[in-house]
Amino acid sequence: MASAAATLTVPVGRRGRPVRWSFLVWYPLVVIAGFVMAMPLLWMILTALKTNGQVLNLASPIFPHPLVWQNLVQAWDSAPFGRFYLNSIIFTVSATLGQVLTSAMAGYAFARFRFPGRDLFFYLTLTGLMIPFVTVMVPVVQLVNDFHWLNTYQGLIVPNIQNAFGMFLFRQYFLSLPTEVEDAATVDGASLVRRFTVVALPMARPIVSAFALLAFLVNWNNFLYPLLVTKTQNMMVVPLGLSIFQSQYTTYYNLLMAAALIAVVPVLIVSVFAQRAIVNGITLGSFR
Amino acid sequence: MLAADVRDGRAAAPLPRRGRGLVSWRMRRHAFAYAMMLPTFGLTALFTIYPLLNVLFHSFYSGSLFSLAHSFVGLANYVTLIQQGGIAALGTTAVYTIGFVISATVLGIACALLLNLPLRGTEAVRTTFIIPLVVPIVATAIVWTTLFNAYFGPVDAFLSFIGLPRIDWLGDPAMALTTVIMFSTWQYVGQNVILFIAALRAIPVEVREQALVDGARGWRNFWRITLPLITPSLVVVTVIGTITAMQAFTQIYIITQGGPIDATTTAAFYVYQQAFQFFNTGASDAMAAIIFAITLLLTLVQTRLLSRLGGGGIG
Repeated sequence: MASAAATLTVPVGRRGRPVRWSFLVWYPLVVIAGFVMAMPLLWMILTALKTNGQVLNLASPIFPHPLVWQNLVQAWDSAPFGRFYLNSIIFTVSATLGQVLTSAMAGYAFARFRFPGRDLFFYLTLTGLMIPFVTVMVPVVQLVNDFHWLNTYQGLIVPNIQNAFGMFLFRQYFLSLPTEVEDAATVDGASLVRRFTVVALPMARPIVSAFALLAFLVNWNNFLYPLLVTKTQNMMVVPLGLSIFQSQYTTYYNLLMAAALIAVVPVLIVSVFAQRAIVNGITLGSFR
Repeated sequence: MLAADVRDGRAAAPLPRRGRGLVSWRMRRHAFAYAMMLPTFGLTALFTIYPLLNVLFHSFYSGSLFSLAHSFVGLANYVTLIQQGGIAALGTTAVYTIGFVISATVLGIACALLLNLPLRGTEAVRTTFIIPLVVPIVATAIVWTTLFNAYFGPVDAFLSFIGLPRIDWLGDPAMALTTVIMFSTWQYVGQNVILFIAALRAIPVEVREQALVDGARGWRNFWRITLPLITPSLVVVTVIGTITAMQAFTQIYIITQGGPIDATTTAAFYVYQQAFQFFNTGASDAMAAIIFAITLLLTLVQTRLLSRLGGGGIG
């Protein structure tokens, strides 16, 4: 589909004939853009495999020799990265599942039912989209503290299992679906709950996967919220743990880059394989 | 809304079964709908709407983070805000936002045009734009601190290699904000590229061909044909970019901690610092209220502009 679109939109060059010679002008620019974008991460990988002496010596070659794989082991052992990863998985999976479920439920309710106060509830929920987290973070932390949830999994997860944007996406999607199939299920005696879980939700699979991926990335990379509500290392997620590592190993540049590499690799792999889904998700996300 | 009502009517068509009255059926439907929207609405109300009202209230009332005693103090918190460097933080935010939005938008259009060319290998280059968007900002921001290190960083090494003076990117108050803007642009520009490419591909082939027939080429083609057609995307990108910039926190926390000498303390970082480092919630609430007001204004401007342009928008 992508290649078809590409050939459709730019079939001609400046003079109305297929682009042939002009690539000599544009190619170097494409390469430069790619280099600038990739360079920081390439440099991170190269530095992660050097000795700190090589990093600090400007005369040393750009490519490390020999490769110091030991840095990765040492970085992993210098902080409880295993624990950070476990916490990240617990936090991200629960928050993402929660957001998908609550968003699908609310989107379905707002799309399919008419009940007193529906529009009021809908618009109030939507205003949640217009309120940046930084404006409400102080009272949110206060609330979490009032619940005695600071430094707990529920404190990390519960405030994050709603997503007004997800609700909006699901509502739009359900509005675009015909109700015939659901009606048929009701005629066959399906309850309202089954109508949603067995009939409507499977039909919303495209939105479930797109929104789940987007929510997963946002939750995995969330730094500010875990910074505010976790206090001890055994509750920290990967980005926060990495920032603590940074403050402790300020001048061990090779270890710092090795730790950054440890934090980046899983998402890097996901992003390369799920690129098309990410592009779709971002295009979807700009609707708000 | 209306479409939903019509559908709702049809959905309700199956009549009550097993002797239940019409009212009971409707009540069960209502109960079900309330139960379905309750988690989202309840949590949004508790963790977003109530805290917002709380902040707006407290920006005019005194009281520390965990105390219950309040009294009306009028604009005193806003006066404190001014005394505690709030104006400087707002100025920094303005510079940061303008710099970030302009660079991310201009580079976004330029790279989108470039990557939309039918050249081999653009897919791979596009991947390099997406990676910074999805990997943790904490990690890439840490990379930035070593890239721009004044003593052994490769950026300064490159500058001296081509004969330019070295720059203390992170230690010089005049340069630190620029360094953060460069990071944010690098990290975020891929999103604009994706949105602009989508907009470029939505331009009908006939329009392009007609433009060529009419003799619009190169820059003329861009200014007269392409740019007007992607204006709705331009509005969306600018407004989302501005709102993103107003909330920038992680990169500032990691790269500069707001320094040197508060040179990179933006409004969002100011809220964090006042509330959680100086325990001065009066100033933080006042600043949060200002951020909210600006965000609200921007959202309204976006909706108004888009409806005038005939583009999308909420609802």
